[in-house]
Amino acid sequence: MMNMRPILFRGNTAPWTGKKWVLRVLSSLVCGILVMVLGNIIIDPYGILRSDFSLQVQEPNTHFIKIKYLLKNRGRFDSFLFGSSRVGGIDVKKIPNGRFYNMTYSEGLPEEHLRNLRYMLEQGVKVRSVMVGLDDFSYRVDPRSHDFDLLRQQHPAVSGKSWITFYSEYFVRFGRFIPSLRDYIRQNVLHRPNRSGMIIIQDVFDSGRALCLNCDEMIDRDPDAHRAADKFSKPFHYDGDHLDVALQSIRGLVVLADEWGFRLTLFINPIHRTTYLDTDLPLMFRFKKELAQISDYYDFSGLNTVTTDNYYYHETSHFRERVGDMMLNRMTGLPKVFVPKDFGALVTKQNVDEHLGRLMRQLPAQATAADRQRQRTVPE
Amino acid sequence: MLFNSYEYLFLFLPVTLAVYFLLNRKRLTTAATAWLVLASLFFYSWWDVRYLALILASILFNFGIGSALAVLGRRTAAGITAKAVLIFGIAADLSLLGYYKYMDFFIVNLNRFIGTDLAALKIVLPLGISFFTFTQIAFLVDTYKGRAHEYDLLRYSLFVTFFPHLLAGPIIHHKEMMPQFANIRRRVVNYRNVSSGLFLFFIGLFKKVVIADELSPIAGFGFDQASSLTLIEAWVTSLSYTLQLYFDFSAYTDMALGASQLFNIRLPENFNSPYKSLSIAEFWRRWHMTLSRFLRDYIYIPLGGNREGNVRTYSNLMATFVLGGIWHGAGWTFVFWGFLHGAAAVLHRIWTGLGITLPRALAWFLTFNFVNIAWIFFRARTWDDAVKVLAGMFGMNGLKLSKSAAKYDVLRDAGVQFGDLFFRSFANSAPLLIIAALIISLVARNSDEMARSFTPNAKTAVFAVVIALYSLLNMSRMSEFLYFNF
Repeated sequence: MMNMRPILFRGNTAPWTGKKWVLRVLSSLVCGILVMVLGNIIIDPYGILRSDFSLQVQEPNTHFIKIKYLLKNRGRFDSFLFGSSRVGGIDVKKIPNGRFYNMTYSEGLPEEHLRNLRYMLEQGVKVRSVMVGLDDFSYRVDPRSHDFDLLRQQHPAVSGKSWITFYSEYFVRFGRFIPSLRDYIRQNVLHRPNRSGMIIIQDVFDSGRALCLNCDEMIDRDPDAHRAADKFSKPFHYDGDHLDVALQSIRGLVVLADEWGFRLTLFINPIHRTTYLDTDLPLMFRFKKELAQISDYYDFSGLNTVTTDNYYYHETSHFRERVGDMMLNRMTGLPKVFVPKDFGALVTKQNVDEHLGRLMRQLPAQATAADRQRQRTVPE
Repeated sequence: MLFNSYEYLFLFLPVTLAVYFLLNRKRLTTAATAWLVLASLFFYSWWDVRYLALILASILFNFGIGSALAVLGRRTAAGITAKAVLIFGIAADLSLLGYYKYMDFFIVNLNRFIGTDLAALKIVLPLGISFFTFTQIAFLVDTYKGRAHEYDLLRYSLFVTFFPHLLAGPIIHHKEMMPQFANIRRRVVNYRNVSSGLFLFFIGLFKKVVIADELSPIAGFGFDQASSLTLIEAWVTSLSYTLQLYFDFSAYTDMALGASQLFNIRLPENFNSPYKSLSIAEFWRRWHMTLSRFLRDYIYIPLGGNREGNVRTYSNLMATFVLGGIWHGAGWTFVFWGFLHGAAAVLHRIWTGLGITLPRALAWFLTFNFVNIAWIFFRARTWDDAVKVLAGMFGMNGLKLSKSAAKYDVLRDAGVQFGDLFFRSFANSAPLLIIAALIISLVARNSDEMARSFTPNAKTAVFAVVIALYSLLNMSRMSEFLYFNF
C-alpha cells in the first residue's frame, strides 16, 4: 500500500541528536533570513539604501533619506521647508533669499520637525531660514505612532533607535514583500505604467519633492470632470488629541530659532473643504488660538476660494503646485501670481479672535458663497 | 533589552552563550561566571544605564544582610538578633520598592484625602525592580531559616542578575538555582538542552509576535481611546486583553526558560494553562506560579495560613491577595483587582468547605468569566475606563452590528444599532484571532507540556523553523512585555 505520509515526515519519529537538530534548524533559519534580506535589499521598497530613485516603486521614507542626505551635503542648502506631504506642493526654488530644500515627508509632525532641525543644527548644518507647514492632523497624530512605521520613522541618529533595529525592521521582514515584489517587477522589469496613469518621480535630492509629470495635464484635459470626481467627497479623517505635544514642539521651534538665529515662518496649509468640515473644528480653533500665543502664522485654511475648489487639489489632502505658488506669494511676495483676496491671512496674538470669528461665520453659509466665489476666480 | 529585539536575538544571546561556554571549556569557570554577570548587567543597563547603580547597590546590600544572617544563624551578637537583621533587610528592600513604585501614588492620595498640594515626583520605575526585590527578599528569609547561604558575591550577583529571569521573573529561589550553576557538568554545552531551549524560545517568540502583539491594539483602543463600547466591542476589548496578557506574559516566560536552558539552567515554570482552571484556587496554581509560591510562602503562611480557624484564614487570604494586587501596581484599580481575587478565594473556600461542587462546564464558565472581568480593573487606567468596558459588556450601551445586518427588520425592530465596530478599521480579523487564541489557551497543550515532550526530530525541526521564521520576519514593532510595567 502506498505510504500516504508526506515525505518529510516519513520515518520522522526517529530522533536526531540534539546537535543535528540545532545545526539544521539554525542553518535553515539563517538561509531563510538571508533570502528575505537579499530580496528586501534588492527591492528596497522604502528607499533606505538608495541614492537613485528611478527604480523606486512606492513612496520612500523621506523622514530618513533626507536627513541622511543633508548630513552628507551640509553646505548645499541653508534654508528649509518642513511639513507633511502636503507641502510637497510648494516649489521651494521659487522662495527668494535662501537656498531652500523641501523637507516634506509623509505625515510630518511638529515634534519630528523639531527633532530633525535640532539634530541638523547640532551636526553643523547652517540654517538661515525655516518655514513650517502645519495641518489639521499636526495635533491629532501621536508622534510615537511613527516609531515603527517604516514609511515615517525618523533617522536613527535623531530617534535614538539602534542601527541594528532600524535596518532589521526594513530588511529582516516579510510584511509587504509580495506586493512590493509585484510592483517592482511590473515597473522595473515589465515597464508597465502606474495603474493610476500618473508619472511620478522622486526628486529627493534636488527639490525634495515627489513630482507628478503629467498630473496637471490630466486635470486640465477636463477640469469639470476633475472637479466632479468622487474622490473629493472622501475626507482624510484623523482622530486623537495631542494638542499639548504639538504646541510644545512648536514652542520648541520658536526657542530654537531664537537660540540659533534663524528666521522661522509658520503657516497652516490650505485644507480641502471636505477634510476641513470633517475635522474636529472646535479642536482646530483651539489649536489656532493657542498657536497665536506662541507665534504669528499664516493661515491658509478655512473655507475660501482655493479650499472650496477641487480644481486646486489632487484629492482632499494634497494641493497643487499653483496653490503653493499662491502661498509663497502671500508669505514672501514671490512668485508673482494672482492670489484670491480671501486666501491666506497673517494671524497674530492681537487679531486671532477676529480671525477665528471670521472662520466660524463662514461655516453656515459656506456652500453657496464659495460656489459664487469660484466662478469669479481666474485659473492659471 | 527585549527578548524580541534584533539586538538580543542576533547579537547578545549568541555572543553571551558562545563566550560563556568557551570560557568554561578552558576551565576558566570563575571568568565564565563573571562573564555571565557582566552580560546580565549589560542586558539590564541597555534599557537605562542610570539604574545600573541601583541594582548593584541592592545586590551589595542584600548580600551583606544575607552574609550577616548566615554568620549569626539564630544567635544574637552585640545585642542584635538575626531576626532584627532580617527585618531590617526586608524593610530596606521594601522601602526601595516603595519609593520607586508607590511614592507618587502616595503623594497623589495624600493630596486627595488630606488636601495637601505636594507635587508628584514623577519617578520612573526601574525595570524589574519588583522582581529582583522579591527574589532577594526570598533569599534573605531562606538564609534566616537556614535553607540557603551564599558566601560568594559573584555567585550571589549571578543569582540575582541572571538575565533570562532578571526583568520579569520567574521569581526564583537560591536553592533551586545555585546548585545548577555549581554543577560542573552543566558548564559543558549540552545540545539536547540547546535544542529544547530553542524550541521553547521560538514558541514564546511566536506567542508574543503573532498573538499577543496583534491583540494589543484592540485592547488598547477599547480601554484607552473609545468613548463608549457596545456589547460586542466591549467583549472583544476585554477578551483581547485577557488573552493578550496571558500570551504576552507566558511568552516572556517561555523565552526566559528557553534562553536559560541554553545555559543548562532550568528555571521554574510559571504558567500551566491557567484559563483551563475550574476554580479560583486552581487558577492561582496555574497563573504566575512563582509569584503565587512567593505570596504563599512569605506572606500567607507567615500570617498563619489556614492554621488558625476559618475567620483568620479568610482574612489571611484577603490580605495576601490585596498585597498581591498592590505589588502589581500603584493604583486603586490594582488594589481592587486584588480584593476581587481575595473575595473569590474566600468564597471558594467557603463553598468547598460546605461540600458544594459545580459541574465542570459551569465551574469553568464562572472561573473564566470572573478572571476576565477582574482583568478589566487590572488593565483600566481609571475607574471610568473600567466602568466603560463593564457597561458595554452588560449591554448598557446596546448592541451594534455591521451595516450589512441592517437589512434584517427583526434586528432593527429590536433596537440594534448598525455601523462599523471599532476594531474593523485596524483589526478586521479580531474576532477570529480571539477565537483562535481562546482555542489555543483552552484546548491545546501549553508550551511547557510541548517542551517536556520535545524530541529532536524532523517534525519538531520543521515546526521550529516555521514558527521562528514567521515570527522573525513579522516583528513589525518591538513591543515591551506587559509585565515590565510591574
